[in-house]
Amino acid sequence: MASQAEREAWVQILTGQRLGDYELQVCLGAGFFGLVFEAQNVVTGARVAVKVLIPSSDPEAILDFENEAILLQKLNGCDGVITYVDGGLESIEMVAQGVGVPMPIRFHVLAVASGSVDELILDPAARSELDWTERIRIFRGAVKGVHQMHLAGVAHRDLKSSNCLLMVVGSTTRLRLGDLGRAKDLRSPPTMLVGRYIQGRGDLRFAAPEFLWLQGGDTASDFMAADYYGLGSLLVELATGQPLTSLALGNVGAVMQQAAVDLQRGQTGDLATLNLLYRRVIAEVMDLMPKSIQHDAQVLLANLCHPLPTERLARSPYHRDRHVEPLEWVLRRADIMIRRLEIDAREERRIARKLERAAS
Amino acid sequence: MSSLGQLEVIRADKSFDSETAGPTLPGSAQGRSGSKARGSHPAKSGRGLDDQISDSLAETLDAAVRNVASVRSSTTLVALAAAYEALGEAQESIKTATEALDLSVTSARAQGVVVDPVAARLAIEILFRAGRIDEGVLFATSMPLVGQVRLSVGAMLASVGRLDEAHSFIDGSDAIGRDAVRGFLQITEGNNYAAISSLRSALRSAPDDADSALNLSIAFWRIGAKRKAISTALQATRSAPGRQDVGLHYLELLVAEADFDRFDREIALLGRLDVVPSARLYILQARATLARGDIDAGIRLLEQASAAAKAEDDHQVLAEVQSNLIRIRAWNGKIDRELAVSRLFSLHSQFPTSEVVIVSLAQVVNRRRHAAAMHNALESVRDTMVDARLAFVEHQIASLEGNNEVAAEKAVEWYTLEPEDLNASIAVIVALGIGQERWEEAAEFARSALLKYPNDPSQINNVAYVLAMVGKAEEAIELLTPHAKGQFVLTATLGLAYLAANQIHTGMKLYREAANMAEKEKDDSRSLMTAYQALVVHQLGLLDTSDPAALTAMSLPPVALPDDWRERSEFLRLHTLAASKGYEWPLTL
Repeated sequence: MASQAEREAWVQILTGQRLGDYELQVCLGAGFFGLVFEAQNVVTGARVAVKVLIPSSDPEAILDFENEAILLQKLNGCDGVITYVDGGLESIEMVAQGVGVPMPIRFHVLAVASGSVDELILDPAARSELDWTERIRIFRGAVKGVHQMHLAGVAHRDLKSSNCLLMVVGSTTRLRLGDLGRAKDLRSPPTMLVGRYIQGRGDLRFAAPEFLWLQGGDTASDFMAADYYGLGSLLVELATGQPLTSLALGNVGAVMQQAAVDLQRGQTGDLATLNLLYRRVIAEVMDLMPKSIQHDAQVLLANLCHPLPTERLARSPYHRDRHVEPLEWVLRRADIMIRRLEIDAREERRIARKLERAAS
Repeated sequence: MSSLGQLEVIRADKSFDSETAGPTLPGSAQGRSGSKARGSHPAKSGRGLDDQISDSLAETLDAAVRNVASVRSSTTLVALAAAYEALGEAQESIKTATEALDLSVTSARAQGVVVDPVAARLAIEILFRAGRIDEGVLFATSMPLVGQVRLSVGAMLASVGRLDEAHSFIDGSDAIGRDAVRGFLQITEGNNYAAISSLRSALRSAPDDADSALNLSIAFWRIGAKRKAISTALQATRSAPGRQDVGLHYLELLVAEADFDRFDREIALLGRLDVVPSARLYILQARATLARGDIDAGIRLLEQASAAAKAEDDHQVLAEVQSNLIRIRAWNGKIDRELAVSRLFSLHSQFPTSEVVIVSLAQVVNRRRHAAAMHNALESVRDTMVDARLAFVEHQIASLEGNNEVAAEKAVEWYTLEPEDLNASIAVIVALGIGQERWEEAAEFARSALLKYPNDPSQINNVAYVLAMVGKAEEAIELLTPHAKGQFVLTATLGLAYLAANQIHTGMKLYREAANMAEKEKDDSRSLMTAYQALVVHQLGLLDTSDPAALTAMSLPPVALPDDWRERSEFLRLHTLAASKGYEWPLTL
């Protein structure tokens, strides 16, 4: 993991540098192992985003970075996933004790996004201004992206608002999934030791409960179930600013420590016991949603975020959707919610006009 | 059966902690720890699990810090507070949660509503978990919280015993789950009937709510509706088959009701579900086994419980198991009683706050010289010990000291708190009747005890004794006759009943038979029996109505008191009584 100081130093070093045909101009953001710059193709003038792996990163991070490039290329036909333009390994010249030393830098060149969803929801005042129709469209965009990825045989495994990128084209905003560093090719065998999959990786506040209880699996359905949970958690984030796990489980560190103790004893907890707790938290989230979409949202969350991973993969609870592909029913439900909200908005406008006329 | 007037509680199932004691806050973390066996231990290979968890925690904190750097809001601050909490950095966590709440309060004052209610709830929870209850309450009352957030704050307050404040939050909430939380609050207050109503309502809307089913079962148990308590406990176990606390509660009730068939079936089911036995589960199995009289198997199970408690690093349970092992070995004659007392005092110095060690001690000590040490031991747990246990221990100490007045007072207190306890029932009859000569009061307890335990020999003996002394000698004779054959204690009491019925010859003959039986069994009760005989002759006024010389001739010949009579509660009780009445000591005819 790079420290804040290390990241700041690398931003200074890299800003203005060229990696291949791309000149790094402004740092747009930093992650655990990487930095994202806005850059320009010096040949074509095209604006792009360049994601750079901090050179001191550990071998696991390098593997993730390389894997991301492979999977992004595989997904380049999917309009729900960020476009991979280019990438590779270029050296920059660094001076150490008066001597020039070449420093190899791994990078991906990606389509440049206008922002990410977390920017819309981290400030509660801004979040409260965010129209609910827009929030459900964002959610729908993420579902579509994950659905495309799953159809292409890839699981994202790190879904959260900060990895949902917004692409503004004219008057429309489209969502594309980014940061596939933890993504997994569902058609290839596990690439890590089995023990590495039981706890998942990354920010624990977003982790599905099976990872906190050290019960994560290494099969395609395990990865897909984690993505379903991530989608539900994204909807919770759009409503509350917090991921579902944080809302439901409180001190995630304590949960994991207990799970580690249990593991050493050869024991494991029963995730089914969390079901009622999750239902109550979902009810709390419903309080913050418009009435017209509460029922649909409740059904979506209860299914996508069931504490038992196998339950998330169950068919649609709606009879008419029982024969559609997994996640297609979620897309349909999102469409219905959007329509309901549009009807609400129309009705509000009608009432407002009526009141205006009455007042005049 | 023990000797006359002696409460022998060493075999009682009293020095185990009960699983039925505590209601569960809905949605709390209780019972979420592991209970099922894992097939393999994948994380034991490769890089250390602790390192991986540390990495994840570091990444969690890193992301939260970056978010706060970009937007400093209640949303990002509470996420940072949670990250600090997960890392165990309590002070930073409290400071950051407080800042998040300050922002929420400021915003709520400006806008009239809490814009970020979920962040407020999470921050208040963090303060509560850190023990900053007052600060959490202050923030909660400074904001117009509604719905689930209000309910959640009420639930947290109930869990820390701030019941009035909890009411003000819970009663004003209309959120889903309110009945469950209200039921928990009511049962915590001891308002069991109201709790039953609330919890039934909670279960109607969420039949799989294991917490509410568990709490309802506890409420039923407390009002004496035992069958309903057991069936509701069963419902709780089926709603949450992996919850150890729920399963243990159900098993505890089955043990208490001596329903060992269902107990065995449940244990078999747990085995099929791959539940790994915890120390507490082994203890319950041991209790069930001991209650069925299989002492050796019970001891083996307690030894397994001891090993499990060590593996779980649970000192309280370890103390409980160890103390019971000593007590049961002493009862079973596997170790000398004096050695058991010494080991238990040693265990007490190791685990000074363990109540069960004191309770075990109170069951095993049988000499006056132990009383002072018992007083000292009791002081270390007096403030936390439940009332019924405290009354039991104090009764035992007073009996050791020959303090009949305090022994009677504590026996009544113990019985009032645990009317279903056979030993409490015996204690109150012996202490009030024999110890204090408050025969009419003792007779009331005796009649009630007889209805509850019509076949228990100790109870029959004590009830008959008391009945004989209140002028119901015929009733006492009728009660004792079917049971007395071959039992020297019962035969002696039957002799007493005949004396009370003014059938002196028969009474004295039965006393002699009893003394002969006692001698054959090498029991040293002859001395005590002689003293009792002399006492009842005085109490019944037979010396005034019969020929004293004839009475003396028919009575048991005088026997010297045992050398250690000053150490034995059964003699001290009589000595105190004789002194108060001005009877000659040793009591003789």
